Amino acid sequence: MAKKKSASLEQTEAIKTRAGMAEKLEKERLELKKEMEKLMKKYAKATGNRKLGKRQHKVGKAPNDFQA
Amino acid sequence: MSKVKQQTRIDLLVESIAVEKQLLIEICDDLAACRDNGDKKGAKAVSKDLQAQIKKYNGLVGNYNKLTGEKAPTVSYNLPEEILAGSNNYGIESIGQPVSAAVNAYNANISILDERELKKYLNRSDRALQNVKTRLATTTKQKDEAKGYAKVLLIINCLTYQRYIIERLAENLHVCNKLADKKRVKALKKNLAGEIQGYNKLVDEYEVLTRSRLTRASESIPEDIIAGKPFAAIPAISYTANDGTSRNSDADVAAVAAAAAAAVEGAKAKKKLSKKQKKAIKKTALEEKVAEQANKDLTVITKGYDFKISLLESQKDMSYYRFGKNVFDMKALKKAANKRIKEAQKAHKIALKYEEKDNERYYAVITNDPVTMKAKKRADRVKIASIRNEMMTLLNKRDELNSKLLSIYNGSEVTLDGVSINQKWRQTKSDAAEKYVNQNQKLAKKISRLPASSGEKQRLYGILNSNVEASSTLALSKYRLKTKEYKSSQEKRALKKDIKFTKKLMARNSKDIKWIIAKIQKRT
Repeated sequence: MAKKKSASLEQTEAIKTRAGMAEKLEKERLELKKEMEKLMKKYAKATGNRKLGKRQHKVGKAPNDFQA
Repeated sequence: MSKVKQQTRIDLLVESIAVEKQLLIEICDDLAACRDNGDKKGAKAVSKDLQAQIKKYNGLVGNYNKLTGEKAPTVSYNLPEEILAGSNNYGIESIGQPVSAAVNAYNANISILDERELKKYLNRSDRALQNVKTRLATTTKQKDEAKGYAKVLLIINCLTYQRYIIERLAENLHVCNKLADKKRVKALKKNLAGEIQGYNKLVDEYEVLTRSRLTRASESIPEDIIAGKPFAAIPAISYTANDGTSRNSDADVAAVAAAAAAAVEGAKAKKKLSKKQKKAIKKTALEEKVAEQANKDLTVITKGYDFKISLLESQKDMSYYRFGKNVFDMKALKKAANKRIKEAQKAHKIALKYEEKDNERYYAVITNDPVTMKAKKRADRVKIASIRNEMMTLLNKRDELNSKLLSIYNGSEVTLDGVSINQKWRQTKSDAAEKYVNQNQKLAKKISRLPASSGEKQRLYGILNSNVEASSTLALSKYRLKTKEYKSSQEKRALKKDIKFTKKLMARNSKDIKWIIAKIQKRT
């Protein structure tokens, strides 16, 4: 018997397409966050407010950063 | 009862009826709005409020009829049903000639009541005030969340309620002063001053939004009343004052919006704004934009997790529809799905917390104006301003991405509610799976009675279960295609592909089952 593909919801083409599109956008969002963090460091230096430049996690490692 | 006293009571009743009528119309408007928006839950709650308000209103009209011997019409208790059925005709008629509070806030008729009657009047007035205060609180909340002209309209409503409260409190202060009730005079004076401040704040807010100025309430009103001076009337501003026979039409609302727009244009052309006013307007607009962007950002995270969780929930649902299931199997499946759901929920909360922290830092760059910032050198200020501009660009880009992401998580259209879509998906899948299980009960029984090894039986059940999954996926894909949930041709193609594939898979599975059963039967 030929090996069958599963028809579960996560593996359907529509979901994969949807998730794929979201993943692409989330990655772009993460890139923007990286740029923003760089700017924040510059801003903190310019204003003398060091707190603003500090982030608990590196970009991509924090729980709110998208991890595919 | 003397004729004079009777007349006073009638006048007070007429005024109370006028107030309750206004509240009644407001609630009717709310119900009509719920009906128009298809908000069934909201309509149910508002209908309940409306019933209570009709009861109160009819009670007052009943008293009025008893005192005057007239037959003033009450409001039908079927009004909520009529409105829900599509009627915009409320049929609430005016009763008597209410004394306009704005002309003389403390009712001259009160002066002829004796001490006992005055105290009774005060108690009744306090109760009536509570109603209006609740209404004001609700409208203020709505106003704070609204934007643009909707906000202007809600400010006007708030001003109307606030003005009414001030006038009643002024009246009560006048009464207490007459009764020489020092304790209450002191409390009412403080209370009245607070309400006047509230009114003036609303006037300021209105001015910032429309750039047209309204008359402020005099802050000396409490002192004036105690000194026996006449009340400085606050001019009425209201679009809600209709005759009660029909709904506040969209034309009324549009007229106020147009007036506000004209005021903005007029103000632009005629009046030069002071620097302080300009700053205030700019700051409010910026803060609004920041709040909107930050909210959208957090919504993306929530919707993303909701999407993930709905897939897991669906997995859990499907664990009920299985052939050859044993208790351990089902429990393990459910437990694993529950664990993953809990983990996702926990991660969602943490993610929101961290995102809020990040946003606080990012938007601080925007909301802190470098012009007013303390900086050692002029060059620093220029640098900060340039960073601020860059940050604004990046945040705007992120906002665009967030809109796109929301449209994906919500199901292609931003206006659709992702959560309800997810629930519909789950229901569609479950229904299809249940249908397949019910239709194939006989086949399952046949398999259980086959003289086959448990391994063979498990294999057959496995194929049947694959069909359960496929049938639910097929139903869902068809549903999604039918509801035109997606605009993207890419996703439409994917759905069509899914339908084709699941149909094929089901046909092949059915063929396999028949073949295995025939093989087993032949062997025996």
